[in-house]
Amino acid sequence: MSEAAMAAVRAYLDAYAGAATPIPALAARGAVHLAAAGLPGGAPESWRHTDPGELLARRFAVDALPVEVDAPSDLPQLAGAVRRVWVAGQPAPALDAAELAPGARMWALETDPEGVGAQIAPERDGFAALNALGFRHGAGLALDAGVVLAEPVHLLWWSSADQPALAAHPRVAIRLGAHAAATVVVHQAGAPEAGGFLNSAIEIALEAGAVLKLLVVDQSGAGAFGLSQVAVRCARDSRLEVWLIDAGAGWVRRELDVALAEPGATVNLHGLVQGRRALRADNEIVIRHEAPHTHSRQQTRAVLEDRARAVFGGGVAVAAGAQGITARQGNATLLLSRRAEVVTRPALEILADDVQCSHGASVGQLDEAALFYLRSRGLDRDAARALLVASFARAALPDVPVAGVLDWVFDGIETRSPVAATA
Amino acid sequence: MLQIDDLQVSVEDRPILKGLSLKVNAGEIHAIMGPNGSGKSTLAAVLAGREGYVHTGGAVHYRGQDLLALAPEARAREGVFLGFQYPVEIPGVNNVYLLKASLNAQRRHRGEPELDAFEFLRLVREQMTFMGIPEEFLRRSVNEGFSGGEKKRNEILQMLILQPRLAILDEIDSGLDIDALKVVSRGIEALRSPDRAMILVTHYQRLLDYVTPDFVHVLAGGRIVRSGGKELARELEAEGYGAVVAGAGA
Ligand SMILES: Nc1ncnc2c1ncn2[C@@H]1O[C@H](COP(=O)(O)OP(=O)(O)OP(=O)(O)O)[C@@H](O)[C@H]1O
Ligand SMILES: [Mg+2]
Repeated sequence: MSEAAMAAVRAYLDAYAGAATPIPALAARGAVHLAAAGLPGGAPESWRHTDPGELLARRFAVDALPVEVDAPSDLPQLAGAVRRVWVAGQPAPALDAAELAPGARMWALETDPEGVGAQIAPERDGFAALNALGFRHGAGLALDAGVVLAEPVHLLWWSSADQPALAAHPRVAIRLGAHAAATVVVHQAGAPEAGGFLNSAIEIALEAGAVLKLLVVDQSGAGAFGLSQVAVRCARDSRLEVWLIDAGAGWVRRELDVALAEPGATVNLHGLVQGRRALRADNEIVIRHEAPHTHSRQQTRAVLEDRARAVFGGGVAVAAGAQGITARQGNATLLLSRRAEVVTRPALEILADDVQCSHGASVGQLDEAALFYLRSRGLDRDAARALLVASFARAALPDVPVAGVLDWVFDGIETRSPVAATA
Repeated sequence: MLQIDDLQVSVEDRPILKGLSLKVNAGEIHAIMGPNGSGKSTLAAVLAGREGYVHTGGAVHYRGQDLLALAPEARAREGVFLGFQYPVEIPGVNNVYLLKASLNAQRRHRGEPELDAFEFLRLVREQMTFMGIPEEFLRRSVNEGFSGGEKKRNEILQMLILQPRLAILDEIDSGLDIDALKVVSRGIEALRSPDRAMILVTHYQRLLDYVTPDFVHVLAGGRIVRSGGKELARELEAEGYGAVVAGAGA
């Protein structure tokens, strides 16, 4: 462990020593493992292209000031959504909206932490240990078998500029009963000048035939650090649809680990990194085909301007005996600046033989012929460019179930037919 | 309308247009024919403002302005329209969205109010019917997955909506079956008027059977080597470029 990492570990251990915590046993395990493993303390390969140094050099406050209850005017909204908001890591019930339908339950995870840590144990790596140690508030969502939620659930972690740069370690637990279905938006955003570190752990279990549409959206400001570990277990014939969206300007790393544990389980993943300024985004995705006849698809795209940097680690692991699986991975990146950078790192580990895996990556610039075509029709250079970029980016996010999310991301740049609006 | 004097253009240090002169008045239709690689598309691209073409000599005036000094979009808004030999596919950008953005850019430029969605769609539907383009094309991306003939019809649809003053149609007839050729020709004829002009680049007499040009020019070796009336096209078809170009002493 580096000098800087050791100093960071010591600072975190000191900051959280003796503090009240909702799950003391979990926190104790976290402290032990953090001291032992250090930071990042995970698989070194997955950190090869992302330097944690910048994050480890920073010291964050651990106690939030009392939360301002007024809704910030720029608080992102989703029409019709059931919303829960945390400001600076603390619940902000005054900003919550709407209640769930019968058969669905949402609760403050800290009040009923049953099962927390089952999928993301403190021993997973240094950041999981740190989360266990620093966990204070989170969200639980459970659907009974057969319950289909019509409204999306919007879980928003908002960083306020009124708070000091704060470290918070939220947890989310989502459990869908057999054949239940829900749409959940896990969203980190903040005032552009707000800093801080959100180190989240999200544990998701889908029972047989359940369908989860999960949107993970980051729109944090330039001074923000975000690390989320997401672990999903998919039982027989369940389906996970994921949209990973990076549209912020800070340091973002996401580790998504999906276990297709039983036959028929499917994951369909879309990702978009909309990189501007100095966004550093790292999506580390591991899909585990543990059972036969499981299917995965990962299609990610990046549009990188300025000094933005994107890393895509796409891991597919096929267990011995997991026959008849399909696994597809693809990445396409539009590099719009000479200083922008993309790294794609496919990692395949295949222990079965009846498998179909494919991988493709492409990096390109804006199509000059298309640009000229649009300009020759009277669109000015900037408008033509914005249109091409937006259309490339939009194609990365097909079938988004909550249209409002696209409005956050695309600043209202329209590429669709005006007919759709009037027909 | 358009006056080209001794135009010289290079691509990647290679001279392509080597002193081309041409005058096009309002109300006229000019056909430009010539062997492959003679510079016809280069001329069209230079007139529309495509990058990568280096202007090394001569001048182009369009309605009294120095055309080459204008950005491509400024030329479009001033009424210059290029029908592409190979229309570009633009996935994700809706065909009608582009039409609307183009038309409104032009209207803003002329100080006219933008059309609302309703008026605009009425206009588009009317022209689509005229061009025999099915309704479903409203929902497709620009040229994406269009057949060769569909792309060319789409170019003419754009032209009919934008109503340019000067249309340059580069091989608009290539790859069309006879029915499509008739439709495209009808579209071109519909635009013919005393205050518009057109330049048709073509290899074939058959387009000129439907759209009668006022002048026919032969472009060879980067220059107009011969000009004549509509009968020149027949002569070219019968005798080939070789004989005609040699006859011109070029
Ligand atoms: N972007 C370019 N880079 C290099 N050479 C080019 C480029 N564009 C055109 N040329 C060359 O310029 C010459 C003229 O090409 P152009 O496309 O204008 O011919 P054309 O008369 O339209 O031919 P065709 O009848 O085949 O369409 C050709 O030799 C071509 O290879
Ligand atoms: Mg040509």
